[in-house]
Amino acid sequence: MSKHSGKTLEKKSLQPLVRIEDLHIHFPLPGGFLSRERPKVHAVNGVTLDIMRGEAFCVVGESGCGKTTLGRVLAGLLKPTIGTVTYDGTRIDNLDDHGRRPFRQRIQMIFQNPYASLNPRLTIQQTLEEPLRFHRPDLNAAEITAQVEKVMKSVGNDPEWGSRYPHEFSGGQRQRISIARALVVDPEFIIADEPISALDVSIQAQVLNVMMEARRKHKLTYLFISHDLSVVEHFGDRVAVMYLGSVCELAETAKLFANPQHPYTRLLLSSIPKMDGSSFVHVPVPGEVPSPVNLPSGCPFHERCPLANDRCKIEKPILKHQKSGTTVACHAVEEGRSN
Amino acid sequence: MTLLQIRNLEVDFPTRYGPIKVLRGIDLDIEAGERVGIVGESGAGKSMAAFAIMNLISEPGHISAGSVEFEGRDLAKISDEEMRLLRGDRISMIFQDPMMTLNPVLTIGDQMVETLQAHRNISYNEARDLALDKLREVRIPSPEARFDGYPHELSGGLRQRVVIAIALLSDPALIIADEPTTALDVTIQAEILALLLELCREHGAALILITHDLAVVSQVTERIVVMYAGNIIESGSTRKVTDTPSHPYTMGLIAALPEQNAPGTPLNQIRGAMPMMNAVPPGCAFSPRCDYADKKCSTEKPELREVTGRLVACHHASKLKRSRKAGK
Ligand SMILES: Nc1ncnc2c1ncn2[C@@H]1O[C@H](COP(=O)(O)OP(=O)(O)OP(=O)(O)O)[C@@H](O)[C@H]1O
Ligand SMILES: Nc1ncnc2c1ncn2[C@@H]1O[C@H](COP(=O)(O)OP(=O)(O)OP(=O)(O)O)[C@@H](O)[C@H]1O
Ligand code: SF4
Ligand SMILES: [Mg+2]
Ligand SMILES: [Mg+2]
Repeated sequence: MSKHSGKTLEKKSLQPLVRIEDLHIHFPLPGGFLSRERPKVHAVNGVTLDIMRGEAFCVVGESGCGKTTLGRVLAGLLKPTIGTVTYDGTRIDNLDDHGRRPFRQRIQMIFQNPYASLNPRLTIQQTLEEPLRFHRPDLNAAEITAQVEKVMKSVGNDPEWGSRYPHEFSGGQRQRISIARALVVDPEFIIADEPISALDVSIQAQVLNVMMEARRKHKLTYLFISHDLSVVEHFGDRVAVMYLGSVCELAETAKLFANPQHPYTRLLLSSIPKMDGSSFVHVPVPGEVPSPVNLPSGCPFHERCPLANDRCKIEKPILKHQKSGTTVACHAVEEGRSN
Repeated sequence: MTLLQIRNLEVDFPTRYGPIKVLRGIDLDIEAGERVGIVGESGAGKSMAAFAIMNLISEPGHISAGSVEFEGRDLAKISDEEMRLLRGDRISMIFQDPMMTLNPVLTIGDQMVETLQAHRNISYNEARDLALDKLREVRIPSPEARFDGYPHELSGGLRQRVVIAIALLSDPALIIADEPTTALDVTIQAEILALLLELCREHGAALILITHDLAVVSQVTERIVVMYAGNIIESGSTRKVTDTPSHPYTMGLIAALPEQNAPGTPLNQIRGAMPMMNAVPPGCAFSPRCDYADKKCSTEKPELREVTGRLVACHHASKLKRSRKAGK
């Protein structure tokens, strides 16, 4: 699969920084005493991706489709059940704590939940200084203070916040502290899991501007997970659309938004709320929400797909390069019955 | 009928570095069945306003002035026990932090059954069936398997849906939803919003929707309240406020939307940052960041006044050019 995406999307100037190959992640669930097999959540089911150096790579998709899980594997917080992750030429998914160490500063993660990701016992200043002390033993105390102040200001935080504790801040303020913590050590790859969804639009704009600028200046690479498609459209170079642990469409951002191919991508884009004065209309999608516990056979989307036929119920479509310039996993698109 | 009436509400936090006033005099009326959106700068006091209504402000914070009346009763004057019964029954809150609702050591099912049995006299099996129905309604896949699972096993969005399911267990007259769909993808978001709207339309529940998503507020609510640094600075019909924002902060907010900027270009941002709540500047709190500020703005605090059919707290609101039409 990587051959398809690799051949066409690899621009000469870009080297893959991250290579994910056939990644599967399962979580066991409680129960299943009566049946022979313990039920498990199939959070990620065979994802293959390349992320280029300097790229803003976005992941969107249904909630629970495995985005955070994917991010946690890349950040080294979770071992894959099957598959490999290669970072800058080194395989990193199977490293122990010691082997991982050199990558900890280079790869930073901004977590989805700002309420759970800050240590309640540390002041904001301590929270930001700690990673700097650890990763940058070359800096003296004054340099550390200066670096913390610079980064705090860049994401719109008052440096005076330093003496306070996380519980004294609102959700959005905590998220800005988490963002500052990720940026403070000068990483090269940032996994940003819904980094700005807790922020108001003007701070969103400010943080996105900081992230875009850091990218230009330091050639930062992003894996950007978001439900906000207008932000993705603004920020991303490429987008992977995930559904039930699989990538169903992968395309350059502009192409995806101009001409979505996969039926799930189309559903997703048509559900974006608009500010055009229209009132809310909701056309319910028929069918049960499929479960990662009992994965459907065939195409993961077939139970809700308006284009599904018998083949879709049996055979899982694989990502294939399409004439439109995008990569799609859908029999209907492949058979030319999607338009 | 006025369901909720907030008058001159102030909330104080005494801290190591002096007292902080996080709500600085808020007036808000919500009619039965009305849907009102609250938007505003992060840290402006939106969640705090919700906590004040629920009487859930965490120590050492407290209501230092003003009143909250719900269904004609002054909430400051009722007993803790009465307040506890009101919460989760007449008023349901969906918290911004799902773990405010969820207990990490209890299974999803146990917490739902416990909530149900606290307010109603029903058997375990009845409660279980009801809970499973609600989990289905919020589109949790494999509800039976999730019923016996723990909160940490759920993705951010699934956890949020469980919280929404718990909030919908009763038949509330007022739903306060603090960023309820922020963690959800747009298709599930649409389903949850449809569910909330149905609850409002069919059961006459009123909704206070706190969110940063201006498109969501614009589609779901009838009225918008914009907050900045502990005050309401603009309030009016949703259509009016989003089409012709009249406070310079609201204007800046709408101009910052990615839709208003070409892909990849720097987004319009409001210069500066919101002040710390212990150092709110005199006069208009927004004045250090405002393009229209003059001397009066830095000395005299503007009150909410009617300007072109909505309330605006800005000395110059009637003179500003309101040209920024929202949406594409
Ligand atoms: N520790 C765990 N134990 C059991 N199941 C888990 C665990 N962590 C995640 N899961 C499950 O794996 C699936 C994928 O979760 P993940 O958090 O990656 O989703 P997501 O795409 O990030 O969703 P969201 O947009 O809601 O954050 C979900 O069904 C989730 O419930
Ligand atoms: N325990 C506390 N001590 C001191 N100040 C606090 C405390 N809790 C909250 N605050 C302050 O109160 C203000 C209002 O917080 P609130 O949570 O209501 O903001 P919000 O408008 O909901 O923001 P967001 O959109 O980020 O959730 C913030 O400026 C915050 O820093
Ligand atoms: S493969 Fe079939 S079921 Fe899957 S999205 Fe395409 S048409 Fe729908
Ligand atoms: Mg997630
Ligand atoms: Mg809040």
